[in-house]
Amino acid sequence: MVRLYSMALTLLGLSLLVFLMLRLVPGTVVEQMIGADAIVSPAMVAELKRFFGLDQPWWRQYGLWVAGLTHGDLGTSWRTGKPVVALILERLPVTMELTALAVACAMVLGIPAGILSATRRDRAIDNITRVGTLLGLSIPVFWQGTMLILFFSIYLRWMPPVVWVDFFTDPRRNLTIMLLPALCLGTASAANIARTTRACMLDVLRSEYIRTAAAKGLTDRVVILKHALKNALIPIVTVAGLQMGILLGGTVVVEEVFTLPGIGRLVLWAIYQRDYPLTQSTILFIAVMFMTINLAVDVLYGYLDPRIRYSA
Amino acid sequence: MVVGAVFALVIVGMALFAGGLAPHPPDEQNFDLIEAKPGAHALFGTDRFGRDVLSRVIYGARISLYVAVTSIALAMLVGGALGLTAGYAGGLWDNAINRVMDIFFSIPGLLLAVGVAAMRGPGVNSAVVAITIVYTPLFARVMRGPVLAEREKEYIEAVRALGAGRLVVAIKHLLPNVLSPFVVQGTVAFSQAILIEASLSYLGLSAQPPTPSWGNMLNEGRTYLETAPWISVFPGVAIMTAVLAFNLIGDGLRDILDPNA
Repeated sequence: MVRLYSMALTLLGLSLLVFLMLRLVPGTVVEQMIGADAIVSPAMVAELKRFFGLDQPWWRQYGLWVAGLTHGDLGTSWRTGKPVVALILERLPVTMELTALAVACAMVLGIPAGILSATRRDRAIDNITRVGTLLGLSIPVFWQGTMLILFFSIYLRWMPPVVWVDFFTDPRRNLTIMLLPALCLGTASAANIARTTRACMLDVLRSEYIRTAAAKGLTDRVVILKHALKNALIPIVTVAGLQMGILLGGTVVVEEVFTLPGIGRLVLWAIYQRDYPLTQSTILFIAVMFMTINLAVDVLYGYLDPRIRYSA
Repeated sequence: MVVGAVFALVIVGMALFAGGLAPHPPDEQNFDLIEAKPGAHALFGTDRFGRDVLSRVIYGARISLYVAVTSIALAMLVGGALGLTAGYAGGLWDNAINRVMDIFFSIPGLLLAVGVAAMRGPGVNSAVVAITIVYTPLFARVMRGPVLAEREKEYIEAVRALGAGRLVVAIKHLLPNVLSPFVVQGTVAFSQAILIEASLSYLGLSAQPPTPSWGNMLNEGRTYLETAPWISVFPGVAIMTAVLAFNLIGDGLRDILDPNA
């Protein structure tokens, strides 16, 4: 409960911060719409400002927006005339799918790599994995994306479809489009997960119950997968969950590189267009998603390991 | 760590002595060598204006390092001061600083950086401001934790009992004992700052052409991916090498300074 209260307070602070920051930036939607060279009478400019409510004092504009939010009304986009909720819901599936697939890629690559690295410590495979994870943490997402496109299109003569199709219309085509972006987005997380898995597995493999399990004649496979991994999984799942939040931020770049119609690109477009209601509400929406993911990870952590239940 | 330090030195050297190292000025156009493949004339090839990619990669190091150094130094200064105040003064100060920091933690870092830079408009200073804003809360948190633990120790009580003022205790006695994790975090954040600057540049939000930066070179090269892939390959390798170098230094420093982490 305390956590929820604190979340609400943070969101209120964020709403004020975003609202004020947007208004500190020179140029409003009116100037954007008119353009630099157009000759428009001051009366027309004033009329447009009145239309968008920009003639009101800032605290009143803020109050109206927040009052709307409390009723679930995120406002109407100035540049498209559509409700912000509709625009967000239209693009939410793309970002959610991209994030989920990226986390899946990261886990599929990261966990086995970490296990392999830990069980063959200081051997060639361990060293290769460790160098690989460092490279994975250092590679810029957009460059990786560009290189993958280059590799697939020029050397393999295969290009993923350009026009985006949602999963339910054509799952096969959708997954073909999403595979490369998800792989790019998930690379750094895979490296993080591999590192955590390695560290946790090394920790667990040192414990006495593992020695006991091995001593009673169980095969390595059973000891590692059934006894060790089960206990090492708690921090790994936590890291994977937290990565999901971080990846949500990374989608803004990946969506731009692969021209995917997600929320990240929507925010960027809204900022460039000085579309205040769309920018403010979308950023707040992302913050809610981000905080909810982190809260869920905390709760899940407590559930998986009752020793560390959140006390507040 | 040694490998990291060697690479880092090479990159810093590139930035400092770009004028002497680069075979050509970064914006010199050679219309006889347009989109030339890497070869004897141009080691990394040339771009669509016949500009030498190697020279531009060397000069590009300046922007990356300038933005990373400035933003991380600012973030460490401001974040460190806030964390020290929050941890040592406690009470209302701690509460207020934490609440404000929570606001910045409520959005994913990269999105915050992109958002701030987009709102301020493109430019190197926008990138500096954006990265500073992303990392200040992190440094505040990294500073606050150890300060909270350290302030309860007996030596602090002893210095206070001898009549030292709060500011003197905080800066002269407490700060030196909590610096290790802070410095380690600084190196790791530095490598991430290079990555974020490159992302901002790539999105057209940091250094503007014709000034070469690794990110904007990649963005320009995207159009010529099929005919001149080298324009995109080398700046990317440069970013990766720089980030890797500082990651290695960060890892090494962590092992030395903060073995319990």
